[in-house]
Amino acid sequence: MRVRLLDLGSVPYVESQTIYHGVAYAMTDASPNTISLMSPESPYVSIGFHQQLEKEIDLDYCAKRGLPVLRREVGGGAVYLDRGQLFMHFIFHREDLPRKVEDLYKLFIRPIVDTYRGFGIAAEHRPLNDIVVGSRKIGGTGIASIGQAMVVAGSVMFDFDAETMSQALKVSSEKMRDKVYQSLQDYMTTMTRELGAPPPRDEVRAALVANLGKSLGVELEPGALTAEERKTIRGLNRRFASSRWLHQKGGLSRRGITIKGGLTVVEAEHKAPGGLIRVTARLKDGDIDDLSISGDFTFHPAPLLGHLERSLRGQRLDAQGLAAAIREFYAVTGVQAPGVAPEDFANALVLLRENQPA
Amino acid sequence: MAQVKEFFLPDDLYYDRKEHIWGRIEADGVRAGLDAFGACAAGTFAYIKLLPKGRQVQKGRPFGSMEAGKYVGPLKAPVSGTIVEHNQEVLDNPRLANTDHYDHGWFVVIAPSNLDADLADLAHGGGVLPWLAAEVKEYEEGGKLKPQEERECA
Repeated sequence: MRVRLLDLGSVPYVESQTIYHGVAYAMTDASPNTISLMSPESPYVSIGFHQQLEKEIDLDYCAKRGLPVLRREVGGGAVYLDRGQLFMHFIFHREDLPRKVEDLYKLFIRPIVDTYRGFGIAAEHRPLNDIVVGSRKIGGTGIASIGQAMVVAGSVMFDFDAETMSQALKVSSEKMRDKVYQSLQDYMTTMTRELGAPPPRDEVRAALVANLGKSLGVELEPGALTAEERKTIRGLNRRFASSRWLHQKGGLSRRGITIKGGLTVVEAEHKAPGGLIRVTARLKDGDIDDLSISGDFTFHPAPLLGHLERSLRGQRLDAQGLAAAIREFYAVTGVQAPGVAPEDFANALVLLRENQPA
Repeated sequence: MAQVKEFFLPDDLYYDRKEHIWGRIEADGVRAGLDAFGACAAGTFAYIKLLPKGRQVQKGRPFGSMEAGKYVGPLKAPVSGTIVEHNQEVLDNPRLANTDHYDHGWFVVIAPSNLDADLADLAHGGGVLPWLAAEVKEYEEGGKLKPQEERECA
């Protein structure tokens, strides 16, 4: 099997998306399987194929920062991208790749994991598609069928700007934004963070290319884009820049945000007789990992609300169990919350389950 | 019927061999969905988007797209024609495409424009079982599909 390597260095931000789409759309039976490596010259935000722009992105913030937004044809959620990541794409004939999505991820992720390990970072593949170092995620991946090709997209993380990422996302409250930022800080990592300084880019790229060849059992052949591919990419540059493409109605509901596999930040509201209860939580494998409660209800003495939040960490989102725990908290502390029963807090919390990202 | 391991494909349907999209000929047109093998390979459906009713589609071109199990892909028409019906049930509950492939999990009905020619290269009747058996064998032996005991498919 021939595999062409497109080692493209830095490219205009639009082309960091349109090149791999263009190679996929231009693929014919005679085209080689291709691996592309590149980084965007300038930062931008990318949304998933089925997402609705206005629901996912804080467009005012992006406009103020001069951050463009692009819709990709790969799934998943919105993400902030910049030169801190080295993008890698497999653009392969479908018949040359495993049929099952999980097996595809294994094939794709292995050389990335080997590369991190070569630099002393104890990375591992956590199925389905996460790469982690301990409890922290170091990069995400996605798969799409585009034209005749199967495309697998991922990156090597030199660095990641959690602050800008959390600002660029549209969230229902500032509390939610804080929790997204904190969760990204707590549960994401990068080569810079692991090593104390970014490793030389060229060395990482060379190691990745060597690991790709070893993993696939082939010699990668350095190559260039064909004239037909360039023409397709030019057409996609226009399409990806068009308002119609960007603003198309999606519908994949993501009322929460996935930080990594099994870890989400979610918000829910419940109207109790005594006022609105808003709960913002980080859920770990569906259980409460961290929680903030706010709203316009009375809770006296107020500092006890923080105690309640902490006492519910580790709880399952089960209405009866939560209500029992909160009832006990009421009894032990003697807190006063007129018109807000323990069951009201439990009802708000159970709604988190429904609001988790698909 | 054709059954190979856990994959059941009714042999009265017509199958696009590459896309694993099935078509059932009915009075109003060709009802289309994803077969058990295709659904297993894709993973759990999270979202389905379909072209609007009245839109013309070409055989082998997308009539919609799907997102499942960290994968996005087109849904390609088994025949050319006009989309005359949507399955709102599967749009509301995409997992039906995984759990009820041939009944509630269908996607669209296409009023065909060139039916006889379009059906010619689709697997049907006695051709379904050997095709499916070869498909499963090829993917398992090629390491493209996990052994049956490790698969988690409806």
